[in-house]
Amino acid sequence: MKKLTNRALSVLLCSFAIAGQAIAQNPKLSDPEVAHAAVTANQIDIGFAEIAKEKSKNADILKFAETMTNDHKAIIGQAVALVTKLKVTPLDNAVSKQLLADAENKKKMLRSKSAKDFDKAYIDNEVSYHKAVIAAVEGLLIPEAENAELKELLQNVVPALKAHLGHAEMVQKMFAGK
Amino acid sequence: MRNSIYLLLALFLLNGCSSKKAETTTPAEDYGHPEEKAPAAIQKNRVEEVPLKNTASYHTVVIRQMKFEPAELKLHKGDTVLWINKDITDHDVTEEVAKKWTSSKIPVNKSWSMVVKQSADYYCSIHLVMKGKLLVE
Ligand SMILES: [Cu+2]
Repeated sequence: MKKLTNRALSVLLCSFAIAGQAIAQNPKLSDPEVAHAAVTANQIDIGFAEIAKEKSKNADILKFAETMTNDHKAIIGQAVALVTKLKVTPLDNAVSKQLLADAENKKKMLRSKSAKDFDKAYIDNEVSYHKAVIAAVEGLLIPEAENAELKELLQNVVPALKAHLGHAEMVQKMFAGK
Repeated sequence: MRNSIYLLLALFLLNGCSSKKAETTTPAEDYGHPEEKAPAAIQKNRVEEVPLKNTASYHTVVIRQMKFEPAELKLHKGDTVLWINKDITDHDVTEEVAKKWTSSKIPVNKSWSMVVKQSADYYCSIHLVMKGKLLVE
């Protein structure tokens, strides 16, 4: 299982490298594209939480999924309010497309799990997904954001992502060896 | 894509917490009225100076960036503590060891206060990594 987790992480990190290449060929990620990628990354975790709410009966998993739904929804609300104020329309781009393609694979994997194996697979994916998103926000979206308020919003989101990662790792420990 | 964002937003309704409120508390109240000046979501993103009305027996803990500030508070029995949520997500304040008391959900820009009777380790039951201490001297 540990191997599988590492593989899942490397696939995600690899996909950011691919997205990075797409950016390298087209060096500037515009603010509408940064905003789109940020919203997409948050929507994806809401999608994972939805599957957990359908499939899990574990109180710790369900509570974590509820926090993910509410927090990522709040972050999207902030992003939508800001782009509305800035009169920016989020623009689809290579990073968003890669994030969505990876998420579809992960969702398929999660949906295929038996009730017995689901909880561990979900929380393992939450740990690796938050690690990857923190890396993308800090290493890609914040440096690429030009507008000061957009940059600030992304910076304000990082502590929430790190708290989610810490929370996910706590829940993950409960499933270690199961 | 934008439309689908709003659709997603509309799909996820808020679910309230259902934990019991402590007796010596006031309900979560408005802290300021950001909606009068700018959309709350934008305003709350700004780093704001919170006017702290602290006295010898009244203490404020600001919740910001997933932290309680100050995380450790020394105080006297009978002092009042006010927690203000200046973060971007909902939080709560819950006694950690035996769940003796809880604020229930404190939404963004709201606050909650309690008269402190004894020392306590507390945490946010929504975000398990957020922890604080009340030290009665
Ligand atoms: Cu919290």
